[in-house]
Amino acid sequence: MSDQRETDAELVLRVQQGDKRAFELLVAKYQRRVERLISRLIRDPAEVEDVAQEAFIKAYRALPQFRGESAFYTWLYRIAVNTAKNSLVSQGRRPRPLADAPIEQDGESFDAADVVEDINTPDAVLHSRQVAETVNAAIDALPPDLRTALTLREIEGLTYEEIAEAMDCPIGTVRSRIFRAREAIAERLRPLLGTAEGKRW
Amino acid sequence: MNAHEELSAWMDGQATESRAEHTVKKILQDPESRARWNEYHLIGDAMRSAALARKSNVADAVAQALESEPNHLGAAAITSEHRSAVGRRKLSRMVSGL
Repeated sequence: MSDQRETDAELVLRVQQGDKRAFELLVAKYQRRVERLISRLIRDPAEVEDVAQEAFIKAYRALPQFRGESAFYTWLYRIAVNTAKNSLVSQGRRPRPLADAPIEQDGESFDAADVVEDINTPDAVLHSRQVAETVNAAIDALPPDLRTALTLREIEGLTYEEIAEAMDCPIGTVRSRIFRAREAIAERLRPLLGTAEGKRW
Repeated sequence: MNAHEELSAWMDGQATESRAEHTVKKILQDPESRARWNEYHLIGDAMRSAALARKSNVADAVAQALESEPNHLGAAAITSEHRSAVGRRKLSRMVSGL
């Protein structure tokens, strides 16, 4: 989804100009993917969380040197992998063996539904299952046009222009459908996340 | 245009050019908008992989740790006049060319 690069680049620029809040948005966006990546190397969930936190702080400190030659997430994933490896080395341990999927260069290619089960506590697994089920049920309940628009965006990574073409409708309609789909799903998710509308996580 | 709809488009890199600056500021400053940012990204992650369908504690922990980190002192903030004159495309080229 290369069109997201522009959004990331904008946030990176703002961090470089002194706005820490912009970095928090990047963390909110990438935290789960970074944790999943680290969980390929480190088994203990609490440690995965600590290493993820450390990786993000390292990224924050190094951000003035980031020149945007690669995508922000590629740069971030490299820091995450190095942080995880250093953490293992400092404790004289080896990375957990990578049984099934190899780590792709960009860290994007795990299909690790199995990993969550295998590293997390029963509570965490239950929570994760509930989130997945709630999102899926909310998507099933959407009007077909909304469901199609959001799926083309989130799963297929199409631009709004491409979705407009695929669905034979104006771009404004695509924007509105994707937004309404997200709102409908978010509404169902909120009770599960323990967040009242408008409250910060 | 609903403000959250602008946010939804902006996170997809599809914001209305003339509104982008306003939208970013709102996401950065308004807690409701930030909550939307978090929720919409969780939804996308959950759709792409069941392994990502979960709330993470990392963002809160990092936000706390960031309190003791200094702000980066880059060039003076780009003013909105400059920004709109340069345009978003050029701006991102500037970022990659820095």
